Amino acid sequence: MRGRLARVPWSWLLIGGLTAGALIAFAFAPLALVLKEAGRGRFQWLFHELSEPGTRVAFLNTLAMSALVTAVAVPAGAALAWLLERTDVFATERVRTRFSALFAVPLAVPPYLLAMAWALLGNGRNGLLNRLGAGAWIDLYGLDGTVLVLATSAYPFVMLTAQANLRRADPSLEEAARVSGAGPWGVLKTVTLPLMLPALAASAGLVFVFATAAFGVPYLLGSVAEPPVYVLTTRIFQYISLGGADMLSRASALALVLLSTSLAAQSFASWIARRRSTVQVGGKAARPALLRLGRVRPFAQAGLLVGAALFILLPLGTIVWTSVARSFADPFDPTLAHWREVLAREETARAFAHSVLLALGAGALVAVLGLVVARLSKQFGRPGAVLAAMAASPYAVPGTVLAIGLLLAFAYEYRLIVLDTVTFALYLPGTLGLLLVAYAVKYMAFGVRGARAALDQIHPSLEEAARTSGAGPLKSAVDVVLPLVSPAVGAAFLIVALPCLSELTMSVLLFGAGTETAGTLLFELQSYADPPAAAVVATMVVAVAVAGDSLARRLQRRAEGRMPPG
Amino acid sequence: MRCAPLLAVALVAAGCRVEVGPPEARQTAAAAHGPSGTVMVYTSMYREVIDAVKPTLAEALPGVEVKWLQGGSEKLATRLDAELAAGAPQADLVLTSDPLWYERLRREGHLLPYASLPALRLRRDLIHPTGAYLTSRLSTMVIAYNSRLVSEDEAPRTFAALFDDRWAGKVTCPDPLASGTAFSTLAQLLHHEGPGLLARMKAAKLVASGGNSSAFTRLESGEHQVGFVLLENVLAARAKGSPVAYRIPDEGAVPVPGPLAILKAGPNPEAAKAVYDLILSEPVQRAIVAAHMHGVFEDLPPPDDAPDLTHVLDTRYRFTPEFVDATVEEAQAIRQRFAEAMGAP
Repeated sequence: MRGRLARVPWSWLLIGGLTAGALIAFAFAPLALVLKEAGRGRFQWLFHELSEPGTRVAFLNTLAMSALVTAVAVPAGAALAWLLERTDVFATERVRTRFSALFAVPLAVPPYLLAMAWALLGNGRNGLLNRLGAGAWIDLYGLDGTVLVLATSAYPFVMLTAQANLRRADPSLEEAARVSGAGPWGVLKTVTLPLMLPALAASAGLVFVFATAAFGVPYLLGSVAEPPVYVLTTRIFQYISLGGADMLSRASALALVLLSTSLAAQSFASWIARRRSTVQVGGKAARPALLRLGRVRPFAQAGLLVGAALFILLPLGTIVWTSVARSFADPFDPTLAHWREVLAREETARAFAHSVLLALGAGALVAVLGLVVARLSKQFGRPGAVLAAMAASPYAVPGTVLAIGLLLAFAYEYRLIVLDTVTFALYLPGTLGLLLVAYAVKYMAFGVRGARAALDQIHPSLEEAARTSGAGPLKSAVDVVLPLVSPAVGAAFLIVALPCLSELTMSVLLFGAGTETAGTLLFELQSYADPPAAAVVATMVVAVAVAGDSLARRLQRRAEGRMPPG
Repeated sequence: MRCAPLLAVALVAAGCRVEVGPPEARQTAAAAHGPSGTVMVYTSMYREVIDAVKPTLAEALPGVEVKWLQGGSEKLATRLDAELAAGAPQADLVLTSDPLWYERLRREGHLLPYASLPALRLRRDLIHPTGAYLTSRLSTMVIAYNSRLVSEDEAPRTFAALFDDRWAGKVTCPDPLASGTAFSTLAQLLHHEGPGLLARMKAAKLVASGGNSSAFTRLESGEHQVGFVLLENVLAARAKGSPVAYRIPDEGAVPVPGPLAILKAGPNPEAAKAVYDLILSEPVQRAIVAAHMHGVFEDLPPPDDAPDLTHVLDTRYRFTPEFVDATVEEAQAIRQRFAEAMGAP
């Protein structure tokens, strides 16, 4: 170990130390403050909770729900990525890009809004679909509806990660297989799929964790079902709202169960990713020749169109339509009153400006820090793995618990006084800074996992080549590694920035007077004014997200176009 | 040689120290005399009320900057509880709608007793005997029904009648675990009807989910036909042509107090007292009434289409000190029993 550390340049040690310090201060300390509640009295509450039959039911429901969501979202996301990146399903690049952007949209829609839209469409009593069809033929309350909505929210993680992975994978491998006589499906099975596997495993881990930590959707669709379906997060919500001295301890004990489940799932995923990891020596990839789908093409096109219509346009259309419907009693009586009301509010523009700023900031922070942590974890072996796990664990903790931890940890002003002359003061409550910290901490997992999957595919010989040619460690990282992982970093940026645009769970606990965000505005309108006005904000969030997403894609394409091939 | 930069960093680090405490700006503000500086109000009041009272406050208290943090009662309670646990509350005044939470804060010694002059205009039963908090507005829980599906004659006349067999599968309310007003109502109903009511709620397949506006939306869309929701939601929607109608039950509605209190450990209690007095002024009370809630002055007109304050307070569901005492001890058990009765594992 000593010998290995001695070979590490001091710049790496310094960066590593600073990153670890920041992670401990901002991500781990708040979590530890809450979780130490779970350890009170020699973990008596943990044992108490584990012995409760209700916990077992909620735990098994969580596992079943998360496994189903993963089983639906990962193949769907992978298939979409492959169709849109590697095949001629649509003839022009333009159309394929448009569809990629369209299929990424659910990422920007808060899952609980999708759940509300589906509840409106498919509740067993008088859902719109039931009114249109013959009798009550669909009832989305329960586990099936919960899985449907969560899978819709989660597949874009997989799709974006896999697309980034395919974009940087060396197409000459696939071409070689084709030249050697493999058919299109043979290439997919023997080359493309194994190439995608590490990224797929990493994102499957994240999808699983996303589902275990989800609260709004199982609450809206599960706890009103007959019989009600409870999961760990809805049970934690019950404990927190039951109030009382022991309840934070019991809730923390359950949060610890949730965290362990998630960490186990993530380690399993990264074990698979490492076991099946593929390394490539090639540099920057050229655009591959597209696979001809032939006779299957019309079916693939129809599948994409129907999928987009059913799972994206239908629920989003419902949200947009709600925003112009007079009320839920008269859904077919259009009015612009809600739009006028929301646009007339002085805080609407401010809230959106804050959200855009925070989303860009959190996305950039996570993309950069994620890359650094991933690079460090690759460099340092075991301590690096601890660092990566530390960065990834906040994602598995329910937003409410994380927000309480941040409130506890940052209630004070911290002053760093250097040599009694210079004072750096940090006082976060009620500022945008606290929200930025919350978002970045929560989503750090995406930056780390995405970058690590990409880094693992780069053969060390590339960097070594740069080093032997005289480049320093930082220069070789910037000149060689960075261009190769940039699609993954870009994907991480999008995956983080889009949900941050409308983040709600933590924001409603952490925002300050004058630092409203789109999420808090949404929550306020949803709970107090009228839900149609909330649909206006949701529509605006989606519009901003789509615009931002296509802008990011255009910039990325231009950047890729400038880079020399090969 | 390669250790030199590390050594330098270590040297600088050795000359550093870290201080933790309240922000320096706040300490100076607390030392000043008279109402000045910033007052932070945590409130669940509607945005329109806040916007309406801003000019009044600015005129009456030119030296005070009032900041409003507006959010749901439960979110603000969670947030303030965490701040109090850390020993550094950001709020000076709290103005939300969960009476039992205020009683808990009072018992834990977080509230500053204050005898406000304008409070003399209030009914005595709206003021806590210790002066730790008082009612500054009322959100009233009433029976509501979708008038396209249920006629006025058919609509239930008492809260208990909501859980008759004929409404099985058609009755809804907000989640007592998510909404303070719903919890207060549940506690009142159980207090007067006895614990047998829970079994009747279960048998009627009551759907209790989300906050007040979620429950209202389910009534408006016709997913459910009858239920209990807040009067202010019904009045606001009726003004826009909604078919949801309301009825004051025969035994009386549940007028849930919206308390007002000053935090002992808040940054600026002196200025908070001045704002406290102004919330009990006519312009602010009128703004509350304009937002379809009841203010606390009996001589002011009630919200449009609503009974007057005396009528609303003439109910068996009063938040007497005895009721509040009994319920604050029982709060957790009541929620637990409700969750279990409704099928939580």
